[in-house]
Amino acid sequence: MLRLTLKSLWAHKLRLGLTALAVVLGVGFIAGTFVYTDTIGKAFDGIFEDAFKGVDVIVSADSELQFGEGIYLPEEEILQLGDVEGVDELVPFLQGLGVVILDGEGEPIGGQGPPQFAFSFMETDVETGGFNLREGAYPQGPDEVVIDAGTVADNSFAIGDLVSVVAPNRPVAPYTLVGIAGFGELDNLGGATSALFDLRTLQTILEREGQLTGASIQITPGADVDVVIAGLEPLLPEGARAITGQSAAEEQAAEIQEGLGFFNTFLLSFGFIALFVGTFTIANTFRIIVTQRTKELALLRALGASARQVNRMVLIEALIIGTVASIVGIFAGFGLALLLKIGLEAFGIALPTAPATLQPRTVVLSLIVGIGVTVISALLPARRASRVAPIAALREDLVAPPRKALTRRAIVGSAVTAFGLLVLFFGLSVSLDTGPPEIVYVGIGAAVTFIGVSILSPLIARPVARVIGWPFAKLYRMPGKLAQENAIRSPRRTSATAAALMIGVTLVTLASVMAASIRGTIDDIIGTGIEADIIIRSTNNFDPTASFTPELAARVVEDESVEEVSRQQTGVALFIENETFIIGIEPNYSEFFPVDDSQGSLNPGPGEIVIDQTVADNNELPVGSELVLVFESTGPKSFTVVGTATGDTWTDVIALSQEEWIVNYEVESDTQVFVRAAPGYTPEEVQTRLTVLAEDVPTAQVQTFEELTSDVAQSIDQLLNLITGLLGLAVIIALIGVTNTMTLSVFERTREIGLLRAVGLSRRQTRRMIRSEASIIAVFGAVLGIAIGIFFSWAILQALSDQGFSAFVIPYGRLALYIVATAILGVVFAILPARRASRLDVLEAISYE
Amino acid sequence: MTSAAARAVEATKIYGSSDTAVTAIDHLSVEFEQGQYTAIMGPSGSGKSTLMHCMAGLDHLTSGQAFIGDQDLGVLNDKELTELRRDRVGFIFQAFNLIPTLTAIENITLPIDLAGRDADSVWLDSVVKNLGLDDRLSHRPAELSGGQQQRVAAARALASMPTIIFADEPTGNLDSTASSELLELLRSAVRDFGQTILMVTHDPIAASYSDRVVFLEDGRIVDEMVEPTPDSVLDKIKSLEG
Repeated sequence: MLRLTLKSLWAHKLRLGLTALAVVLGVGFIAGTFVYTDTIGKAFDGIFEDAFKGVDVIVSADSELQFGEGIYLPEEEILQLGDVEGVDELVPFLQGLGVVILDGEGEPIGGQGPPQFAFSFMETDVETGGFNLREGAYPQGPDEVVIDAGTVADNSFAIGDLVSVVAPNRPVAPYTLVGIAGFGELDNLGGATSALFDLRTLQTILEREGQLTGASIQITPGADVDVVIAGLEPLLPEGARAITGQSAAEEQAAEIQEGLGFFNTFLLSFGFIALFVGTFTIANTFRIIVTQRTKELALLRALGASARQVNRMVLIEALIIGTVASIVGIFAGFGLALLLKIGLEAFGIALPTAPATLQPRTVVLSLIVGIGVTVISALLPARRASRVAPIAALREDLVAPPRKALTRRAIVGSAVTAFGLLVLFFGLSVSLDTGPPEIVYVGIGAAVTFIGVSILSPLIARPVARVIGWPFAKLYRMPGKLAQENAIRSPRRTSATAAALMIGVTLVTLASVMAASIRGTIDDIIGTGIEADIIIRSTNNFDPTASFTPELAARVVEDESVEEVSRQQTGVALFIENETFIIGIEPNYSEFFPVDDSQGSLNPGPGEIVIDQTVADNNELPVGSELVLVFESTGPKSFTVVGTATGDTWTDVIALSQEEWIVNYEVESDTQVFVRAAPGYTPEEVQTRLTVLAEDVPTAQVQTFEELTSDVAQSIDQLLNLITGLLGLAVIIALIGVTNTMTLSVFERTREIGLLRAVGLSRRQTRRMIRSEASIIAVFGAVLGIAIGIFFSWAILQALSDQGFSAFVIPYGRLALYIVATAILGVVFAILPARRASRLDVLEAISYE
Repeated sequence: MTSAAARAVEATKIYGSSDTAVTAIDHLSVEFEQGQYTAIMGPSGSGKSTLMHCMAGLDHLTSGQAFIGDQDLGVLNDKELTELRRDRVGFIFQAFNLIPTLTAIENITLPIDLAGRDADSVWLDSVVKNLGLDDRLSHRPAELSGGQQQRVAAARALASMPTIIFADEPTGNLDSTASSELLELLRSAVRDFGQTILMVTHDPIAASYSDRVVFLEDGRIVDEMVEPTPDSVLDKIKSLEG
């Protein structure tokens, strides 16, 4: 039996090759994702090893917050630690964020994702890890800076140049570039910019006189590191801790690995989607092959093979294909990892890299998934094969085993679809409150729904494919009409092929509708909901806490074109175990952000707080109740809720008075300034005037709300394009399914094509006929996918409606484009089978049995 | 000069090459006159199908020439041959004559539709009526009997008013009643419309409906007969075998 299986595999190598390709691509993507993220992980491990190389003990703040502004420790207390027994050398350090280097044109460098760092940097006798001077000198005194080699190279800076740097609270200041630094072997920190100053200068720039972020310690030779740490501990300032350099490296690496884990899961989910689509393609191919081999299988049965043996034969075929394809897929993964890197870099996601890493876990998982998917896909076709009656070998009319009744299909399909939707909605309702783990239900629900719809879709394939085929029949006349009829003649095959495509298109549609709806919501809120004409905000679009000097607002309010301004500060604090944005507002805030309804006062005083009504309801915090915020710099503090507000622009707002905010964050800079134009001035006129005023604050940009919404729309579109690109793999696998189906159909209809050719179908018309049929099938899948995608997004937006998602926008133009694109892709992926059909020898084809 | 609807001149077809070569037809010359119903007979391997395929532009001659009207088929490329088959030739095969997805009437007008022309509705009506298919036009092949299917194929062949119709064992799969019905229809197409038909058959009764029977053996014409009857054909076959 095994020999027979192998022979049959060889005989059908072309079709099976196409099947295997689906597995290769899916497994390749999964393996590629692991290779890619493992490689990045390794690169980061390297960075942290470098960062703490030679450092025995590190003293730093023990922060509860991941996205906080950093904790500063008193310098005096840290320096005293140098006297502790066993401490040989203590090097204090300071670091800060949002210190922006300007390029030759005076424009900010970076701010498109990676942070803008500032570090203290000085010559020491001991290893301190981190940056090392590559060229020039260490920075000394208030006018000197050293910059990382990456930023220097990108901007063609040279030692001796005057380079301008801006810190949040300070005006632009020129510094002489005295040196170039590298980070171990890296030119920069994963795309971040780094400006290095001497400690005193950086303290001034950051307005952190007398403060440090920590210190690196080298212990005296022979001293025990644990003993030294034990000696340090009683003297540490509040909120600080001392750990070994090694554990600091491990800790930071683990943090990065966790972040990478999310990234990995994000990418992997696209790999699994692709494989899920692959199961449809594989199952469909196996089913068609089994149907075409009915006679052969029946002959085997007639000759004495048992039903089980036939079943097993098909499954062993699947096992062999799965194994070979998975192994090829793992190798393909290396190529895809490279493509991922290039592709993500094109979207501005640049991460450090190391030589490609293949872990045993990657190999094992790829094999399990690849083989599993192939064998599972072959289960139903194998069962079908085992049911071929021996008599079918002899009788022409028995070739197809009896089909399931339509009513049964309708019942089973509806039940599966309903169950899928049920799980989906359950998942939606729970995951919104609890977050990630329950989101799995959404995925499972969606997958089951897809299966249900694919069971149902043959029922509507005829009428829908007829409508889709109509333009082809109009355009190409007879060949188009034949294509239309062919697409209808086996609704099961058409549906099964289209179902694979449906999944990809559903997800692309989902992403598109969600993006359009989010844009719609944003238009509603910031486009029209805010009673201001101009917004001044940081040029850093990625960090909501990026700020600029408050002096700008003071100047702006004096301008004759300005009627009124409202300043806002933004920071992060721990609120009921979640890191949440806390804003500081002026008394006129509610005039700029209209409320639908409010309770209490919207003008908080010291020790008071104003929150969004929904937040208040969800956390049972009515007016008069107390809540605790934990600030990174100043620790926990209790506030009285004095007011709650309802309104589009008040979603998730947690606001302190400006004075209170500054007390808790110890900084004064603004993140946003909202400006209302004086009578007689258009927003554009105000913008022009204020842009001139803000010229010396390059980290701030003056925008109309039109520009702001289009900026936000742009970043949403960028994300949409990234997701669409990643879903492209699933679409390609589905399209391979189209190629497969058409190849098998051409093979099956050899005689018919021969007859058509004999009575006058030209080669060109033959190609058109096949390509049109593929196109009809593809568009059928796209239409199904778009319908389900719109429904899914509607469901999700309904579930999200109390989170402020007010708009449901269907991007008709874009969806129409998807239909046109699938029509064209259908044609492209049918080029080979179409060519094959047109080159059939007419005589041989007519007499083909 | 000629009223021949089709002719072959020194037609030779060799399959394979060198030592395994098989000569299917061998320097064969023959004419098929307009308005004549010719049957080609001969034992298996005599080259009768090959002759027909080469005459119909489905296969290429190794040497010699084949003409439909005055058109030499040897000078035509695939596209031109396809158009020739579509516009000037009708086909009736032994089985699997119809496209299963198309209705009877769509099958009948298929070559005309492929050409992008409009069917001559008067002619089409008379063909359909003559073949007794009026009430079957919207049916698909699967819903038609074997005899009806072959009549639809005949209607298709006639519909485009071709120079010549090639029929390859058209009654091979039919019972005797359906068989004689079809043969009578072909006969009347020749008689009433002056259609030219070339039919390959091994059935003496089928051959007897023709005006002229050409006997082939080993790729050559070995005999001819006009005004055949079943008995005379059978006798001739016996004498040829003997």
